[in-house]
Amino acid sequence: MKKSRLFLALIFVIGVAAFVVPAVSSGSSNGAVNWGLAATILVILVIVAFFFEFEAAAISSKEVALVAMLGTISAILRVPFAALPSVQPSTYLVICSGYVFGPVAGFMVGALTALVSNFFLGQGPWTPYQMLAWGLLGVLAAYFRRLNPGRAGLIIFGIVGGYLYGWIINTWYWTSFIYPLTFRTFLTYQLTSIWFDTFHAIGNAVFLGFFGMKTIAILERFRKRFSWRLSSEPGGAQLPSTLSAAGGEQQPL
Amino acid sequence: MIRIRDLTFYYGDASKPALQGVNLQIEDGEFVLVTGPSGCGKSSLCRCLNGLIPHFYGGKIAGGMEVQGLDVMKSTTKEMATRVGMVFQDPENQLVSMDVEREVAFGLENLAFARDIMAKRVEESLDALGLSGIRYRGVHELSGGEKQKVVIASVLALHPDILVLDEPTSELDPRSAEEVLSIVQRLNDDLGMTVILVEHRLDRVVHLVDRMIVMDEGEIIADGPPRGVLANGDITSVGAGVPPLVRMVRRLRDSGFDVDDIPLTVKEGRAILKDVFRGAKVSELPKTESTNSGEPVIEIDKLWYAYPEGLTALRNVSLRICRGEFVAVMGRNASGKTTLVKHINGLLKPTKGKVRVAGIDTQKATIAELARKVGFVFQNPNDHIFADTVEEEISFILRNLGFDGTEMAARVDEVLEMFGLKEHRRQYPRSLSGGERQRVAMASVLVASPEVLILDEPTRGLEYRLKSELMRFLDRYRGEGNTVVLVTHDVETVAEYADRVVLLSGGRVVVDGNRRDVLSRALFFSPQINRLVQAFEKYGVPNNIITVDEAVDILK
Amino acid sequence: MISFRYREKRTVIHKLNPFCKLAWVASVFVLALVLNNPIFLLLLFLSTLLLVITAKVWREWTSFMKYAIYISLTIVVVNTLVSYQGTHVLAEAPFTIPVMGTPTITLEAIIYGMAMSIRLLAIISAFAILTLTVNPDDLMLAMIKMRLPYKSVLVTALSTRFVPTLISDVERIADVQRSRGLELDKCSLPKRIKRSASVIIPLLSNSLDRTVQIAEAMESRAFGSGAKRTFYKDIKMSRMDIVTVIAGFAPSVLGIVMLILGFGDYQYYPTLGRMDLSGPEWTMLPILALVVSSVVFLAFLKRGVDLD
Repeated sequence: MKKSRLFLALIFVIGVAAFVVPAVSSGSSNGAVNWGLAATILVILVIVAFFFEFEAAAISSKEVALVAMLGTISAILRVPFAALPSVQPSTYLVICSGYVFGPVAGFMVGALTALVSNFFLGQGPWTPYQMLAWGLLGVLAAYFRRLNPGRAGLIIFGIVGGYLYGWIINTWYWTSFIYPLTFRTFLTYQLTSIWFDTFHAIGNAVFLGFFGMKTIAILERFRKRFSWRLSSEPGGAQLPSTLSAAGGEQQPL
Repeated sequence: MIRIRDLTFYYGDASKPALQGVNLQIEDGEFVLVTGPSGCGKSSLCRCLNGLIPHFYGGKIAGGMEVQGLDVMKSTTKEMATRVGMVFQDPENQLVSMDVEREVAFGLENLAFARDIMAKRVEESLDALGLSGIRYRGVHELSGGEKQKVVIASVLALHPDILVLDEPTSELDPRSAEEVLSIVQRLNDDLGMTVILVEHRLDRVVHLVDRMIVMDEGEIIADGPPRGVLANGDITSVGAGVPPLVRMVRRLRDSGFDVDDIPLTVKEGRAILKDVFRGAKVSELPKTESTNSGEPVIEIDKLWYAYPEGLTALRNVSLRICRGEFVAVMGRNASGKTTLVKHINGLLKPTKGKVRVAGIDTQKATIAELARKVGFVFQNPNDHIFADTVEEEISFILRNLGFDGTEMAARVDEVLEMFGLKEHRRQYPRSLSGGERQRVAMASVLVASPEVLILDEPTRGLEYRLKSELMRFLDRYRGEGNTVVLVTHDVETVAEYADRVVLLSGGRVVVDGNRRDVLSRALFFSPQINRLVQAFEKYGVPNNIITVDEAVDILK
Repeated sequence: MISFRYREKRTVIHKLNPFCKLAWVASVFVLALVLNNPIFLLLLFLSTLLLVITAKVWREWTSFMKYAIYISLTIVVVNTLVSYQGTHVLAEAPFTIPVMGTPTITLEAIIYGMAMSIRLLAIISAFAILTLTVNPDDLMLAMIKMRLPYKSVLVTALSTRFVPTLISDVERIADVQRSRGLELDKCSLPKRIKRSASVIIPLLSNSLDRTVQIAEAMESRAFGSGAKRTFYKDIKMSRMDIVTVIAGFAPSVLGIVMLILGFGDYQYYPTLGRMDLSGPEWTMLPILALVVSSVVFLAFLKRGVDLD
């Protein structure tokens, strides 16, 4: 358990470094380090590392089915729908998933959102960045919970999350296609998607404000149901026909 | 062999036991039917047999279970999987792979079988279910019946000794249901597999099984050969859906007729009841008055509809439905039933032709405007429910239609009263029982007091007691001068409640008439009683009897 | 109806081994990022077209390109507006913005932006071929083969499998709620979001019910932790397949070679360099085209071998 936290922290530091380092480097020449390539490789490594983490954490069919279903909902809600015009609740759902089910589930739901929806929208070099961006929002939401944020906190998280997402996605374009890689050009590239990111941030805020708590309550209720435990000794046929006490509730997963 | 001793089980948060003091022994090769009202513990019993209870569900458990020599409490679900194959209600939720072949192999992969053994087992299972032709198809392209067959194949690939099926046909249309059941029977017959089948449509299965178990409130209340169990009065009191034929025989016995056996099939019925009908003085059947006399409320004129993907679903449909009519819309899958009724509340707009409801042209009105006139109840009440309380759920439509304040409160109170939901008004709707949720869904539509009510397969998968509760309500609602349009596959229900039957095929109306004319002497759409009386025409029995009541009345 | 971008087609490209296409796309990606010279980038882009034509996915490919062109424009604009480097100054602002400095437009920046657009087009074109010609199923099989953790692949497969199911759920629930007077299209965005709860919440709750049933069904078929598992399907690798996979990697090898030799580079700043079309570097042009499109020739060759 401790080891995996350490691992998560490490991954997180590497992840952040991947975006901060190019932002502060002077970037005098394109030759020395190919930042576009380096960032992509790093992003893929982080994702794979989380996959391994999930392999260890998801012990049963319950976790597998849960993550898959949340990922599916979030993925299909990203695809434009006749039934739900211009409403994209993916991010809000990823945030709620991470908030309730923890960092690994949060990451996986986020990563699935991008990977699965892109089978329908089109895979591209952006796929790993989207996986990482949504995945990190899921992870952050899980840690954000420790602060007991409440509704207002969630709204703020949603707004920040919307911009953070845009920042991560833009990083790819910036490192690969813009010269020179300086803070100035970095900032300008962020500005190109400012409208999109602002809409995303507002959307998240509205979703989380209107029914973030409700969604969390539904997921929470489900989590409790899922972590029922057997409370009598599984003694089999030798067991006396009296019921053992109801006490001794075990900790949820 | 299955041996269960004094089994009591509570789900994690429950105060009432799901199973209480269950003792049961099932021999190899038996075909056992388990039935009872919803919440009676039949599904929990199934889940015990392969260890999902207690290993998956947790909860509190006492007693002993032994299946094929394995102690269920001590064995993992993985070990149990090769002994007991489980098939659940909704095939959609049991298919986890992208294509048929891989689905069948899923269990074998989990048990790490070598590839050559897998290939052989997959082949066998596909053959056994006749699925070789669709082996490469994606699971989402399959029909409901095909999906359920794939599920059975995937379970058979593990070579279980026991097959447990928990309402495997309740999501299927009648034809697929029959096909699935005949496959199950063959597995029991040819391969000697022990079969435990949970089913509430008894008329489909009683003649197939060796033994019938009835449960109520977690206990077994009847257990024995089907004839004996069906003869026993207790099972109707718990709301099990006794087949019309059996109901008839029991009614006849009660009124003093000498019928010494319980028929399980129509054929047996003809033999057993031959003497009763031959000897009896048959009275006239009361005339069915035509209800098609009021002013028309739904007028469909030369309606054509083509889906955007190009499929033409309706071809030149014309239909007039009057105030106070109860119309059943029937037909095979994909015959256009749902497409037709979606035109009545404007969910779909005609490609060609005209639809007028209460004088409003649907082409020119929004769905919300039409919602004041037309209520639409869908099959699954869970699709309706999203609010935190029953009250809020019910007032949703009123808010959308611009009601507020006292008017809204009064209306909500009225329907809460009408549906007996008063004490639940502040409850979370999803925590209610299935029957209560269905009432919430109904109430949430009827609160807007529509003149027309459309129901799309509301009885599919519904147990007998809830079904008759629903139908009685519809009868009353219709009696108040409103119109009911019911889409259904359920011939017995139609025979009892509808006035008029519209039969669709390939997007056209092929038959439209009163229920008696449409349902009697029809090859596939006849109710059980009608199929029975066909044989007695020679004794002067009218061949258009369609319900138990009529058959009994005629003999009096 | 929403559906996969992938469509089954009977072309030699579709029949190519998924590993070959994965390797090829990764290689084109690397090569595109290594190359700087606009002529080389353009040739790389044109070489990907050979696959698009052979795979008969021209129409689907153009929809990717529409998106790519949109991004390309922002790349040109941003480079033009913020680079400030280069000696051929076309315009200079008479003011200075804090942090941003004095906006300057140079010829070099415009040319650089355009070259980068071509780089982007080449990359997106390659990914479009991947999306359009590799069955997601095979992609997942490939992920397993590449020793990616099984459960991650399983959740991806499971999730993809349930996409059509949940889409029809959304459509059905939306029908239910619209029948109850819900109007989603004629109102402001916040209101629309608020109202969409009546679709999203039932969808979520129903899906959680599904989750339990799916987990039960998996458990009943011996899915569980611990023991190893085997796989029914396999990606068969004939000798010819291995050759195609190697060919798939060839562009990245070429990229590294060119990087070492210093080929394919071009000086944009501070002054646009001269392109000397006589040096040994230019012999690389036909080699590049050949290497990138070699998979097409091998694909035809493979069909010949398969038919034997």
